Amino acid sequence: MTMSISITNKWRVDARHQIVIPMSATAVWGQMRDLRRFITRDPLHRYVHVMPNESQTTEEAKTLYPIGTKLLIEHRLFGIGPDRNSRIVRWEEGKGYAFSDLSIRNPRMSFPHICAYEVRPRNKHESILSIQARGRWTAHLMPKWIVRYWLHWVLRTTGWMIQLELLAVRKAKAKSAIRSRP
Amino acid sequence: MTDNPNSPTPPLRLNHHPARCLNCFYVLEGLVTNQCPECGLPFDRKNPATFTRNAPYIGWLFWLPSWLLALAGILLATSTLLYMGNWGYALWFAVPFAGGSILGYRVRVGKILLIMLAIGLAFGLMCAMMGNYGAGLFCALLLAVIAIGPLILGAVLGTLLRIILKASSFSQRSWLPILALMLLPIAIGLIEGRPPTYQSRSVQTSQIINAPTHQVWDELVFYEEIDREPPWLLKLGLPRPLGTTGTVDRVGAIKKCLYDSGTITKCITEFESRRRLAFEVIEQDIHFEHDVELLGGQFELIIEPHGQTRLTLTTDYRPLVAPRWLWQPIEELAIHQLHEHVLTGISQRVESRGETFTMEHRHDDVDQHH
Repeated sequence: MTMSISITNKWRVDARHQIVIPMSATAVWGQMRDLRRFITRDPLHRYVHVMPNESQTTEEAKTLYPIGTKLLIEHRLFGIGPDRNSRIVRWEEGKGYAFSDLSIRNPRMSFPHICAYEVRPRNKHESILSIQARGRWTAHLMPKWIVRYWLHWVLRTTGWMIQLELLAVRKAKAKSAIRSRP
Repeated sequence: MTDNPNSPTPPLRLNHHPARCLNCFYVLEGLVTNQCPECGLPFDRKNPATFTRNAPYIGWLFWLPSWLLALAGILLATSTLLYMGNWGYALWFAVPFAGGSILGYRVRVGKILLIMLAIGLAFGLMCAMMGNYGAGLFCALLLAVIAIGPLILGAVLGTLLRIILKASSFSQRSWLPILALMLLPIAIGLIEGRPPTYQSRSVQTSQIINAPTHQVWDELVFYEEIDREPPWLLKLGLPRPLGTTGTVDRVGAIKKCLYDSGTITKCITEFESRRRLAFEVIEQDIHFEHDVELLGGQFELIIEPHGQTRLTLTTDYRPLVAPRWLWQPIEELAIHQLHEHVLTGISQRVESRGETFTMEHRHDDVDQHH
């Protein structure tokens, strides 16, 4: 499990958190595909709405979330917070995805950033899940150590929640395997 | 197995729970094959029996955050009300009701688990009272028992509120009702204010002792030194008498009674030998200062037929907590228990000394005879 957070002089933020998951990369991707559920493991993302895209072709619809799909993410902390606009900017089947996270009022304000989730195999039974947030911190009056601590808390909690989610899947699979035994 | 290109692609239901493999819960939505890539189990998009839309989850993660939220609400309201000095309906009823409502509003579980969580909240309230205010186990247990009713009622109404608001278009329903419920006990406490100054009350307990008045009177000096095992109610957290210092041989004498939770200092106000011993409480420090103010009391001895004595113990106090319909019977029960413990202690010691006295007399008689 590794965590790296860098904040440059120009307030560029690059925060990464990697966790080892005791599940195959395919199985982890199988859960990541439910993007609406998976990204709400982030303690700030309460709910994700997928906005209708009428121009989407049948062929595009075969990809679960085609690049450009609009999302509306409800950001909440203790029940209070804004809704933010988002778009899928990357979707690599079996590997990962990324989406933007921008303020509705002004996309250049309130920490515009890209969130990325990526999984890669470590061995046959283990995988490495990488959670990343890259963007520009806009509240410059805030001391950098607070920003670092805040990002650290968000990423660590997200990682912990994802591990719990995947633990539930492992348990359910084990139960399912016991039930299906002759 | 691949999709038939001629068959119409079912619309994506992205704002609904996606289809998952029955075996390994892999998300099947948007796949070009009709086979789970993880375990190979086939599925048919048009047949809901071949997949599930329920994602696996960890049960405690489903209810624990909301339970902790309800507990935090209870602790916040209790601390605020105690700080405000409100010992009335707001503390005993509104706080557990609000806690139960938050629980019912936030937690979507079965009835049994909801009741168990409500009981858990009552236990949390009990611990908060013991830790925050230093209440004894008796008071905390009592509070937990009182809280169960409003907690469960709150949980039911909270659930109903959730169902009603879910059907509405109220956009702030995720947090505004919770905030309102958290503030409800404090608002009721502000309206209710501190409990009024109640009139003093007296509780009397009598016991017949098989000994003449002068023997009982002699024992009163040491009445707080009781060797017998206290009843369960006293063991549970009510102050248990341990011993005394000082004398009671005249008006104005000071006597300090030691209890397991502190001391009560008494000043003798009436001294009628073998008839009445009255006292005034001049200092009270037994951790019940928020509940009752002890004013005084008296021992009264009445001669009964067959060499017996009726000993009556009276305690005068001023109640400090509301509502009276709830607390008066509990106070009376507690004081009667304490009285009975003291009177039985005196009775047992007097009767055992009386027997010794009689035996000694008998021995004397035998010696004289020889």
